[in-house]
Amino acid sequence: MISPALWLVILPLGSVPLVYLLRRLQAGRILAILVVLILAWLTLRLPTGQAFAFMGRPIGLDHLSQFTITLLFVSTAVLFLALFFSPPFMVRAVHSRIEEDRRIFYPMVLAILAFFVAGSLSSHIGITAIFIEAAAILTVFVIQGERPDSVRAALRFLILMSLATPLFLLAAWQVDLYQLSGGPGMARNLPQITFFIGFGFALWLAVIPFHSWLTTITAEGSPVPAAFVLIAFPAVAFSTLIHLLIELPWLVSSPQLVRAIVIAGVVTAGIGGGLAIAQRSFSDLMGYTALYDLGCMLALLGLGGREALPAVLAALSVRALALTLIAVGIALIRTHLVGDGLPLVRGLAWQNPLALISLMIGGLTLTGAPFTAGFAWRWQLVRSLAAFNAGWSVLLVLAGLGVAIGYLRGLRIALQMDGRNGESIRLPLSISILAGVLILLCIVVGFAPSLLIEPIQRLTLTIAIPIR
Amino acid sequence: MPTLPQVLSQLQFITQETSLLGLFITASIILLWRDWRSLILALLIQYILIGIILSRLVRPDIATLKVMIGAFICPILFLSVRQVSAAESPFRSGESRIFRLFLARLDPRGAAATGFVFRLLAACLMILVATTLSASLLLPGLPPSVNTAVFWLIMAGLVTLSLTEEPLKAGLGLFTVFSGFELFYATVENSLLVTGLWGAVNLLMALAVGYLIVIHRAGPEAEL
Repeated sequence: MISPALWLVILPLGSVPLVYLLRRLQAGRILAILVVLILAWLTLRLPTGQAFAFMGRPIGLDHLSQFTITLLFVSTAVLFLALFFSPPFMVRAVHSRIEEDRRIFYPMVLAILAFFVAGSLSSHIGITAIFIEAAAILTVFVIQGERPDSVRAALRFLILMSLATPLFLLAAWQVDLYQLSGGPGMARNLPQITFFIGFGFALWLAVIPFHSWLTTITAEGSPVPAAFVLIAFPAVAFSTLIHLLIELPWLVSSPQLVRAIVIAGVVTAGIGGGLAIAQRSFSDLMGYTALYDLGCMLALLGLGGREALPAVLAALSVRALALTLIAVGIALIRTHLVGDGLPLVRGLAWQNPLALISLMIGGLTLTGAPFTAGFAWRWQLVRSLAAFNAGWSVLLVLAGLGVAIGYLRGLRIALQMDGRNGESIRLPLSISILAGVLILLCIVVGFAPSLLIEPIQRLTLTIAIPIR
Repeated sequence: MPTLPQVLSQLQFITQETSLLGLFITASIILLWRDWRSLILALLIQYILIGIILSRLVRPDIATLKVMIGAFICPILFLSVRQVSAAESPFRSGESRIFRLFLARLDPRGAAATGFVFRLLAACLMILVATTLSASLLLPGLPPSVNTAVFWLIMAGLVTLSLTEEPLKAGLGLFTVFSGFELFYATVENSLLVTGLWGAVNLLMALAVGYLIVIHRAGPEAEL
């Protein structure tokens, strides 16, 4: 009998051929949206904690995997809807691009989700890494989307993600040896295991200086596929890292390593925030904002404590919400402009106010501005970091200000009057409603963070990161 | 038809040291050369040499599987480049070849900084680094020559990756890194599931690299 959790892999993989065959029709896109929504519902209904063997390896769905997989499915469903409702671009050359993106995006993402789920179900870091590598390879097609102008983003992503896989396989081999030997005999190998795992996660999580895949994807790719990559890969990477820390608590027994995680997070956030000030388009800004956010999450995880896990999971949810909103904002800008460079958006506030509001709310949420969904966990991070090292917490706040300044620069230009200010763009009701709901969620969760944090706390009652 | 053990026994004259020398040459070609036919041929020979080395360290069928995966990867890359190079005319859109070469020299992204001499020096440096590393860092269960081969392939692949943004070269660099890794990993990992999944990932990667080659050559960047 097939284990119920395996349906989360079989269903998306099984629907790929059908969605691909129907890719030129609306029916294919609707089918993909329905499949992802059904999968999200199914994930929440499945029992957790039941381990079983598949091809000799233990697999199972625990609370953390359930949360990650549900987050993946829900955010993918919203991104599918965003792409489905987005009006086609006005410029002919760009119009053909978004159509190609749409055709490839739906079936490929279903296959990628299947690999992510397979990786999340596996409790062996080597097999998880191989499945994530397979997902990364398929993501190349999503990032490129048949654009003939540049392959830089897809290639950098492929190279950096692929280089992490051998490191995880070596780590898995060493972990197996360590566990089989009963521990003490292999104690001298612990630094090696830590090195392999640390380096692998640095590549996956775009830690400076391995961040180029992340920023290039947003600069070169279409907004919705870029948002998918920026939401899905860090979510799975964080989930895998947390699993690993829970299963192998001796990994973080060294205070130097914990300190290294925090420093990596602070440096990534600091550089991401610092560079965000100088960006010249909303797409570039999205990349550096996402980098800043990733750095903050890594620092939060490194600081540990009882509240770290719910805070990281809340941060992943807020990140998905904010990045989707930013992607919708950029997609809306490109419905009437050839790009989203800051010089091009002059007068946007009058022509397309919804796009501007989406970008501002999404951007400020990722920055952690007060009264947005990102504030609560960012406040917790700054307080914990201040207790650890006050200087670093100041750096983190300054980096956040850098990102906010980047968005405020865009706002200032968008508010400037130009000759086209009278021509307001009429957007379809569906995409306006979707953007409105996302904006509302960002603000409501900002005023009442318990709406998000309390369910996550209930879910993670029995799990704790072994960093004190 | 000869059986696998018979084929392997006929290849006994190729010693580990000869294979190491061959790997020095193939990875150097991948690092130095620009002609795509030579590059793909070098990768194929590299996979065969790795298969020969592995046949003496692990089960012969696993070693053969590695060679077969390489033998599938190379045609995928070959057909991808062939498809676009056949479509490319030497005198496209009214531009003469000399004019395009002139443009390429003016291009700041051009290969001036990573020219042949630079890459040759980088290859020599990597040989030194690989031999030094292998002397000080012995990987478990590997003879010294194979130990050197592992470090050399990983170093040469990483340098190739760092010196190019062209999908074919980058793909070959990545496969070279993976070859070095597999040379060691195949000797320590006995799981057939992991071996099979890793082989499938390599083939998938060849398809992705092939796709990027086709897209890249079709785009405006390739005109320079």
